[in-house]
Amino acid sequence: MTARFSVDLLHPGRVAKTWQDWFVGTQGRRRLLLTAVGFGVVLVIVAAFPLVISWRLSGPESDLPRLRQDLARRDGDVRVLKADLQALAVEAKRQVRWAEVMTALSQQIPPTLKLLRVEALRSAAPPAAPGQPAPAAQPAGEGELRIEAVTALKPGSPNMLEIAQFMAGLMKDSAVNKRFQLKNWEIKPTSATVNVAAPAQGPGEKFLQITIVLSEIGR
Amino acid sequence: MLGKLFRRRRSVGLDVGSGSVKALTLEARGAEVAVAGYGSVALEADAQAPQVSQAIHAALAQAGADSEPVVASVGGPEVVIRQVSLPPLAPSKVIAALEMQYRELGLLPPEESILDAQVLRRSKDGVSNEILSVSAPKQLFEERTTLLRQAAVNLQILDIEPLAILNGALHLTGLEPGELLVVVNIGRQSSVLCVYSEQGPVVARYLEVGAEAFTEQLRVAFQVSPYSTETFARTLGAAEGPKAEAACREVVERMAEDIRLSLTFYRTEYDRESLPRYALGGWVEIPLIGRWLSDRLGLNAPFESMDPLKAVEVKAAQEAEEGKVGTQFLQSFGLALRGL
Repeated sequence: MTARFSVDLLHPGRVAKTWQDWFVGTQGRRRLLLTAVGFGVVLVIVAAFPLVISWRLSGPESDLPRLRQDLARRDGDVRVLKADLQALAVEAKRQVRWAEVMTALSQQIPPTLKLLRVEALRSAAPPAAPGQPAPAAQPAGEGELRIEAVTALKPGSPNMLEIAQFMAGLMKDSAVNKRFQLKNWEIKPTSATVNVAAPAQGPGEKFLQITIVLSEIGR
Repeated sequence: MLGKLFRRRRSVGLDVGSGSVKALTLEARGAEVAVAGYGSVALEADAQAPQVSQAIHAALAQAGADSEPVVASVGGPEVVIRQVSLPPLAPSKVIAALEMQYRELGLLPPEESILDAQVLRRSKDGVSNEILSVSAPKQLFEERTTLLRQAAVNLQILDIEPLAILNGALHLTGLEPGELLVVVNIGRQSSVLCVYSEQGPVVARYLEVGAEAFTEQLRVAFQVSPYSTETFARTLGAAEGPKAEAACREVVERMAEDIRLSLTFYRTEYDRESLPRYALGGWVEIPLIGRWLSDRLGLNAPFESMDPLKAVEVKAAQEAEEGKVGTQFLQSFGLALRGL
């Protein structure tokens, strides 16, 4: 404190006043010892805390490589599973789409027309010109639906009318027109030797072969 | 503890002397102290308790410390200040051990005195402590506390005059290790001589020479009225210097002899190596006293003037009144320091 001497006759006997004085006297050694022990305990606690944390973490730390391997393996499994699911989803969608198209075809086709073939084609990309960059990959689902049918050729061309109605009905069907658009069609006569179970096929009878190509609408 | 460090503290030192009452208010923030107010009221030689009470009130009012707790002191040749070595003891046992010593040495018995002690330092051998012990006659203690109680003073601490003077002088001089402080505080009828160094004990002596001895010599030599002697002494010019010195020669010689003897004893017994620093406080209204004393002691420089009003920042916007020499506040300054 500011004053060197600090006696007080009004309060005699208050000999120990400063913290240094606290360690002086018969109790001084005991107090010093207790203080040292207190500091020691605090130091031990402070030092032990990180050690305990480190000790508790050391077990899991040794397992870390194995866990990483396990994680990589499971990650691979998940990727395969995801790919499978995606493939399944694509296949399921394709099946649904085909089921809808088949339903539409069966509903719209007249009795005189016989389907020969219904096939889905993936339209080939045009070859890149020399010196030009390759065209961008074709978007998935952009293909063609090729329908081939035959009908017996009859005088007065009633078949042509039926064919026109079939095509019109097909393109009006929502299951078809939301995915396909008419790309081209073709009707040509064919011989009786065509290998089909043509209706009311008789000797020397003539047939018309109808080819309709629908292109898939890009999404 | 931190709060105490940064809080503004305030303490009032009250010095009730035989010639005047001095009060000084100190404010401290951290280690810095400043005088917030001071006051001094002269006492008649035959002043009774009511007059002293009035003077106390007036001095405290001047110091701006009307109802604050104060630090006061007792003093006189009957007060014993000793420094002894004791083995490490519990605080309660220190006083008992000192009382036993007092009985053995034939000093005032415990039932007739008030005894207090302070552990100053552990001695070099490590098995004993340096204890400062003080004892004052119970009668003296009761007279002083009764006077202060009658004056409705809220007494906080009762210190010892020489220790208050030393506390003040140590603060003002900033005494360093290797220095020995010799401080003379001149009172009206007597003076206090304190000698102290870090290597030695506190030695305090009351000298039978005071301001009255000087003024009486001047009054006779210059044929001045008793009522104007103090004013004459204060305004003593250079022309009157040699005559005044010749008039006061005997008084100065007695004082110087006492200082020389005490210092010789101290240096022989306790501390041969420290360099003495001489300081003067109290009634120093003859400006030449310091030089006369240093001439008698064969010193090259006059005594250092212990003026707290010059050495410490004074916040109080008080006019320097006639007769208020700052050195007279040395003891009240030391008392106020004690309360911080």
